[in-house]
Amino acid sequence: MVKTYKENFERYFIVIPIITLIFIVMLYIYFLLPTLEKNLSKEIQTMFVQEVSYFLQNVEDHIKHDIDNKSILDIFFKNESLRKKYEDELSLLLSPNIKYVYMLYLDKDGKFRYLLDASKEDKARPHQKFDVLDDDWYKVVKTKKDLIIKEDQIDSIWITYLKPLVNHNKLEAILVVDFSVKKLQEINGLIANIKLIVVAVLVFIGLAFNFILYQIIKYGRLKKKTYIDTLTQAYNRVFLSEMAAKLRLDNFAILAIDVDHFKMVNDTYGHEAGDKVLKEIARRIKSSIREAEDLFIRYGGEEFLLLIRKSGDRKKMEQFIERLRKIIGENPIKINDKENIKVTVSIGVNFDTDKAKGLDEAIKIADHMLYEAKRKGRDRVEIYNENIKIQNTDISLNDVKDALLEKRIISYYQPVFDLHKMKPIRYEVLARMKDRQGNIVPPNVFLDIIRGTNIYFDFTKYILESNIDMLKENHTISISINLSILDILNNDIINLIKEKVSPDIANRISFEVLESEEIENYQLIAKRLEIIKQTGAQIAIDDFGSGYSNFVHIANLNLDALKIDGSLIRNIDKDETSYKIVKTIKLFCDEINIEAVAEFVSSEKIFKKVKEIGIPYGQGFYLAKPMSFEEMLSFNKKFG
Amino acid sequence: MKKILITFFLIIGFSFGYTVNELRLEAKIFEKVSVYLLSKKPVKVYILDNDLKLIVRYSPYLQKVDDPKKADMIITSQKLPTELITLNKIVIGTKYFLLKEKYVTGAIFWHKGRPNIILLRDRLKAHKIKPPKVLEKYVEDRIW
Repeated sequence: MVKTYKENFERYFIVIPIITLIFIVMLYIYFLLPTLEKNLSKEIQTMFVQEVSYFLQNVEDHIKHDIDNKSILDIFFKNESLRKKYEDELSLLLSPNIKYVYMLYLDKDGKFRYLLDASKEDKARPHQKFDVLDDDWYKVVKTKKDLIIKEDQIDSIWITYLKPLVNHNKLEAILVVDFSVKKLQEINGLIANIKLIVVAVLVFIGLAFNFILYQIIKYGRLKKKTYIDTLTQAYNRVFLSEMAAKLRLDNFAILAIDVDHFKMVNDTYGHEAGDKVLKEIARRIKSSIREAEDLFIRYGGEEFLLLIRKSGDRKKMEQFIERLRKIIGENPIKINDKENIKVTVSIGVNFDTDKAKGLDEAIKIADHMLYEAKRKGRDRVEIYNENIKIQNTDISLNDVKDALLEKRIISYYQPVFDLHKMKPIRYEVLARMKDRQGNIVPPNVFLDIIRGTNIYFDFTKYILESNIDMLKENHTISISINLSILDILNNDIINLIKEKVSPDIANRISFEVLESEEIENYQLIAKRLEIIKQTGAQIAIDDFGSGYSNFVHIANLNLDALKIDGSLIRNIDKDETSYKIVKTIKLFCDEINIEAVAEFVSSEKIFKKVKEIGIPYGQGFYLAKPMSFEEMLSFNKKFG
Repeated sequence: MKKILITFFLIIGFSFGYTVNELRLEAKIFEKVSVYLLSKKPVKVYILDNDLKLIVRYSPYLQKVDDPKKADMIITSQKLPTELITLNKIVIGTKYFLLKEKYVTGAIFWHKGRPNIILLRDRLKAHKIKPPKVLEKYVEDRIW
């Protein structure tokens, strides 16, 4: 799986070869420039010389015509006006690119001398000696053919074009044209500019290359940071959601791992200790898995997801998961210099990922099994099989979160009756969620999704705040609100109750603690309930008799009421044992002087039995169904 | 100080249209011609114009002297004052027109971007100099 992350990252490295290619091309152009310069100057030289050559050919023709087969030197020496005429004719060639045009002859000592000079500047006198720097000049004497000399030793002249004037197979004079270095300088300037542009592009590419490289490294680090949970170094949910589409889900088994009693660790030893515990557990998990094959994700506060690649041998995988649970819980975790604490985890496993519609559903099943593991006493592994029914809804954690933000969590109210006066004494608050289509979603559907997350506490706070506000505006209404053990242990919830439950409403509000969630530390719970009681609110135990009831502990909790579980009331008219248990609970309530309330009074028969036992308060469909706020107000009015 | 002066002369040299290449070439020619003519090393030269002083910089065998009397040769780009003429030294001009002056022995000058050397036979003879063979091609019997 890590490979996939790398693949994702390496995609950005495609840019580097492209830039390198451009860089190489530009570098090639740079080294090609001298050749280009050479060829360009050669081309221009040919072009210029050709033009001049045609011109000089015409001059030669004119001269030959004028001398009429006689010696050029004789005629020119004697005829000054003819010299002048040709000086004028040759001067037509002069331009910024052609600096000097003149005619030379070779004297008997082999010295070059001027015959005429059409140049405007540095004009020489006839017969004046002309020194040559290069012996190449004498080649033209030998070959009697046109010659181009590159004047490397002269700064102001680029090339000199020599055209021999041959008469009767004898070289008599040479027409000379000096090309100015200006054109060469222009070419060089042009090439220099191109060079400059190429260098600038190379520098730019170099900088861009470095910049992109820096960005890639930075991006890589950032991406890693985005994907990795800093505390545990496990992947986070962002990574999981990005991977979801690419993941071959059927290749993996999903393990939902949750640290048992983590909140207590945090509350007792502080968050620093909690962080140490999470870090160590993550380390233990990581050291047990194949990091290149498996995916380890911090899914929530103290919940991890482990996607392990299926090996084909289910039994071996089950053994590995059991071993993993033992490894995590085996050795105590050092939280400071003095204390080590033993921490266990509960694991929910979903092997049947191939049957899930998607990752969310597969996780939900693993999560459900995790909840089962918790329910069955924690520090255990629960594996999903097809016989286990999981309520299949499309509701996700985010849906509940959104519903809270959009105030789509609403309260329904079911009256609790004084069975003697047949009047409602209070209304139990029952939360419902409205989906975006306006459908009412029952609490059993969404509470399991949010349990163990912070949203669960946000949900409780919302229900508390909205109903306390309602009480302040409706003085004839009394309510009871359910609290889980998790709520009771949460400081924020307790502080909220302390702050919000003012004396004017305290006698109209009671809190029902769900007895079906096992209470392990009765002393702690008792302390917390005492804080609530100090506000003036009443405390009741909900679902008493659902299987975890302990009369001794209940007697010590300083309660105001006890709600007998529906599973007992439901059978009271048919089952003798249920009848007897309910009766005993009633007697117990009388003994410790608390109210007994019968839930699930769903028929007349049950109602009569409840009355017969003498339970003073009752609640159920037979008496009244849950109703909306407005219905509750009008219902309450009927009873004055 | 020396460096500053060299830089100064270089700036002057360039401002007169010389390039380093031309200066080096000119200096080399001056050196060769002087050494061949006088058959001695170094040749002590008195330079009249500041802008010609760079010639000495690029010529190890030319030694600049401040007293023209001690010089073997005077290099000038202009006509000489009478007191220098009367010293009857070998005078090399850097302009073609200076050859018209009878006290000028020869000229090394730039013409059409090329260095030219003209040594006048009778004036060399007046200084009892017989030009070596290597310089013969630059010796002229007359001025054109």
